[in-house]
Amino acid sequence: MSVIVTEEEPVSSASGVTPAAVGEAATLIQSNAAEVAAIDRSVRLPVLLFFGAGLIWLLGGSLLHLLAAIKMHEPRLLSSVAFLTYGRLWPAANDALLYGWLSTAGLGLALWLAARLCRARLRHEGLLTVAWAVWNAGVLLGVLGVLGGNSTSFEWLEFPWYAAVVLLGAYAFISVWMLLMFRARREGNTYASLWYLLAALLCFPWLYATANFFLLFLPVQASAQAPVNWWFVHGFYGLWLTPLALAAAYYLVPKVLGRTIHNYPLAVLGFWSWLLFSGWRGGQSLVDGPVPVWMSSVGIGAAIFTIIPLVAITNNLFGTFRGRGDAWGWSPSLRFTHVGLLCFVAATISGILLAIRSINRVLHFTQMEVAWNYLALYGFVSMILFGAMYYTVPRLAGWDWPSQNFIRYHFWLCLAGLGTIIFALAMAGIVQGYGLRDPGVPVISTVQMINPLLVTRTCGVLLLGAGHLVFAASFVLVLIRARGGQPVTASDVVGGRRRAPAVATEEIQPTSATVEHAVG
Amino acid sequence: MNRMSVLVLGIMACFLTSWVGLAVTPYYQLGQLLPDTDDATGEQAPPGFSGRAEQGRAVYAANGCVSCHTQQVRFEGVPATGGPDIEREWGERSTVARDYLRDTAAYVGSQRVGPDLANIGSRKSPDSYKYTTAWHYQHLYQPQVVTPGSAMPPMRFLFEKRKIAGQRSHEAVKVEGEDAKCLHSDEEIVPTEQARQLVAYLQSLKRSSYPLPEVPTAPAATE
Ligand code: HEC
Repeated sequence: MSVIVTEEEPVSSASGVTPAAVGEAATLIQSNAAEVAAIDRSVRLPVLLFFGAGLIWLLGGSLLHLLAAIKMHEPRLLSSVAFLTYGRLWPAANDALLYGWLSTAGLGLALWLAARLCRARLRHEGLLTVAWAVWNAGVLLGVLGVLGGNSTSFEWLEFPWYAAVVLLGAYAFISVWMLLMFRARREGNTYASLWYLLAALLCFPWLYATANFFLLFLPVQASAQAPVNWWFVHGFYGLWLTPLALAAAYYLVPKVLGRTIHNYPLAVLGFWSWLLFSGWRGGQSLVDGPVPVWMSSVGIGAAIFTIIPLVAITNNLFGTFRGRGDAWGWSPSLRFTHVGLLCFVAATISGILLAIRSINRVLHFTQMEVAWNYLALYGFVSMILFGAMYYTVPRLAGWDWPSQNFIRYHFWLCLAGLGTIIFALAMAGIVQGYGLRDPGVPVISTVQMINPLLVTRTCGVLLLGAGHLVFAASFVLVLIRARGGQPVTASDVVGGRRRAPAVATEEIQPTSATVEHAVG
Repeated sequence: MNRMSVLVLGIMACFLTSWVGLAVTPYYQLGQLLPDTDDATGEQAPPGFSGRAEQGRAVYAANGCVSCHTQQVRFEGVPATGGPDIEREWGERSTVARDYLRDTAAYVGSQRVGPDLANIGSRKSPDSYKYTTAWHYQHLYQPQVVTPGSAMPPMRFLFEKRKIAGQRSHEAVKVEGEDAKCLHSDEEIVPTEQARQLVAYLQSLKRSSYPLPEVPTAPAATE
């Protein structure tokens, strides 16, 4: 039983432990370590490319976000430059982050997870770089299209149709490799991580193609567009980004701690219920809106029901963490993942609250929704992506992170930035919400009242951006230092630490307990 | 759950439910609505957009007005015929799916930094200049002068500065405040074709100026 629930082929966390292991276990571990290293080596190029491109989008998107945030309180700035008008900057920034950062880095993560979980080596990875290039060209086309005045003005689908075609094409290309890996699967069991990964990979193309088809390629009558748009927005978060992030969390938490996941049946329940309810939430954004009442009611209901997967998922993941607070100290990937999961809890609960009709009437249409997006997309998904990158990049590049301090700065800048932004926007949302409900308050007064909070938000965006810069710098340093070095095996990663002394990452701490679990 | 096929089919089935429910059902339930014909006059509601207004819709989309403006009016209360949107006179009734029948694309929106625009074309003000074409031009050109403290970005790029040739253009924007000082006495600001289209679109947004059987009109508005 315990083998089934172990998140991982027993070994990789054993690299620091080998000397302690004896006899059979040691042999098993060594052969497995070599195998894991070979798997990692096969995905090294594409995964690092996806991560690198994702980081460039993260920086670019953050810059666009910063400009948009400034323009909210300085609207006259650069007002004769058409492509920098707020209404183009804001969707371009959001889409750069959604498609450029979260999805691109998410695809890198998916490739690595697929290889690890299927214990399959990636072949023809050179060709995959073509798909990588096409994907990024698609995002670039989209962002430039929006800035250039070709925005569709559909929420999260602002990319013009030609960019959507390129993205879908690139995705189809990439999924061939995924398929090949799943075909070559040499692992009998499927782990929770793999379920989520499969869900994300299957839902994304269906979701994105349907939405683009119904809204752009062959548009349905406008009266039917709003529900499709909101179905897509909630699906993109709930059926693409969330499963990717949870796949990473379900993989890394047990793995780094050398534990099995807390409760297998709960994991099953959490998975299916999340999948089912997420798809139905679209109506929660159309409460009292121009759609049949059942749609918003079902949306609210589905939102409320996400309490079930929330309890199941967090009980499992936090249960696996229990008693290992020490991991915060030695494992950056767990520190980020842990914060990400806390934000997942906060985002899910506040998502439910925001759906409830009486609250929705006050806070929908306000900055509270923007605050929620930051919480869910940055606090949850991005933080988990960072965590996963802290784990994978050294293993793929064969070199450890350059400095413990960089990681610390990254972490605290992100927290400070996010905290400031979410606080400021949530307060702004409440002020705006109650202001708009009182017909005696002119709209312009709500704008003036939230102005100082919008300035505060800009400060938060700056802090967050500084954090991203630090992370990007670490990433580049790892690549520069690793360049020219021989590709290394998993156990060499520990050796890598010797080469670049006094550094960060995981797997110092897990002691013989790991081995027990691993082989047991 | 170790069988891949079960897993894949299960995921597809879960996805399929909401795909049918929220993508395909709207297609049939809302995507095939017909206009409402008045038996007496034969007039159809909602009315269509002019060609220029339709081009203005594209300008509206291109410049992301939807990032700050919604186009939907919400009813609430018991019975649901009132609420703040109605009291603000953003419309006489709540908008329903059929109100978007004639749009190529509906920008119902999710942010209200500025006022709702579903009925901006029929909005009234005691000030007779407000909401005229000239007012819209001036507002788009210098929102902070028209409404001090406005967060709306000036859409300068929809206008042209040019030398007055003979007579002042009848469309010339009334420029006031600081901006007027930057303008030489022989220069004027005129709307580009895009600005004209955009304002034509705004002025044809009258989403509740006609009755539809499926939605009551707010009592306050009918009295
Ligand atoms: C950054 C947010 C923002 C963007 C983007 C924006 N607006 Fe506005 N808009 C406002 C605010 C705030 C007001 C209220 C203050 C005022 O009258 O300027 C407003 C007011 C208006 C009004 C007057 C409404 C009334 O009831 O008096 C119109 C018309 C308008 N905007 C049209 C547009 C158009 C067209 C666009 C796109 C080209 C646009 N807005 C883009 C924020 C924005």
